[in-house]
Amino acid sequence: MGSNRFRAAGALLVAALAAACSSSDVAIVIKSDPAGATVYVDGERAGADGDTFALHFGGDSRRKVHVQLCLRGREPAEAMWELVEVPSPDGRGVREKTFRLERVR
Amino acid sequence: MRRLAWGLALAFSVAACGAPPLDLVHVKAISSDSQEPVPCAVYFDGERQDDLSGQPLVTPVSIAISFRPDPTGVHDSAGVKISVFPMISVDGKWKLPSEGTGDPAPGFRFDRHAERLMRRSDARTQLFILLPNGDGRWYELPSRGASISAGS
Repeated sequence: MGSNRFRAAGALLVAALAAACSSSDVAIVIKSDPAGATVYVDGERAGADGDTFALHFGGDSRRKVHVQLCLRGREPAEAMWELVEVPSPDGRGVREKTFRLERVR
Repeated sequence: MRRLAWGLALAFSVAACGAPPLDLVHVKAISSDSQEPVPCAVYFDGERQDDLSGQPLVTPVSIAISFRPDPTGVHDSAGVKISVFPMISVDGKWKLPSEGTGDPAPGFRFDRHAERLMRRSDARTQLFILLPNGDGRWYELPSRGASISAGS
């Protein structure tokens, strides 16, 4: 009886941890206007516009993920997103954000 | 004896809580055009970060940072305003440019892209993407309590 309770508690703990881990990673397509920008996530080069990026928020609800884009001759663009600030999925369930990069003055 | 040990443990815990914890932040700067590294001096809340010999630390660099209420009054959160100022190369050494001394103007702008308020919950790598200073403008160095201002 006692060992069954222990197993049930363990299973609940594993389920809770799995739920916490899956809910803190968000996939999003990042695009630039004009096309061709390089994308940095949390200060590291992560890919190019049009790619899908996995944003890792971990267990900290206040954690912000820093997305930056740069392209020759254009002002850099950036966003600092908490988990709740990441753009919502569209009708197809795809999260997408397009950053407009202004011409350098 | 056990009470004494618990008392000491409690005292150490209280002392540890009173001191601001140190975090390590990695500061990098790159060119928006070439995406190559740009050597910069680093300022925390307007204070230049130097090495043990008093010379400016140059990006890319990892520096210990302490999150506390801003002593300069520029921001009201427990964050740190990080500024990166582009350096110039003279005789193979990196230095901060001095206007009126024959130094060339910094090769990159010291503008809004060169300053950021970092909070404890932010990423520990802070990347600054700097624009080329094609106009050869001069900029005042960061200082405590000051915000960015462009020179001539």
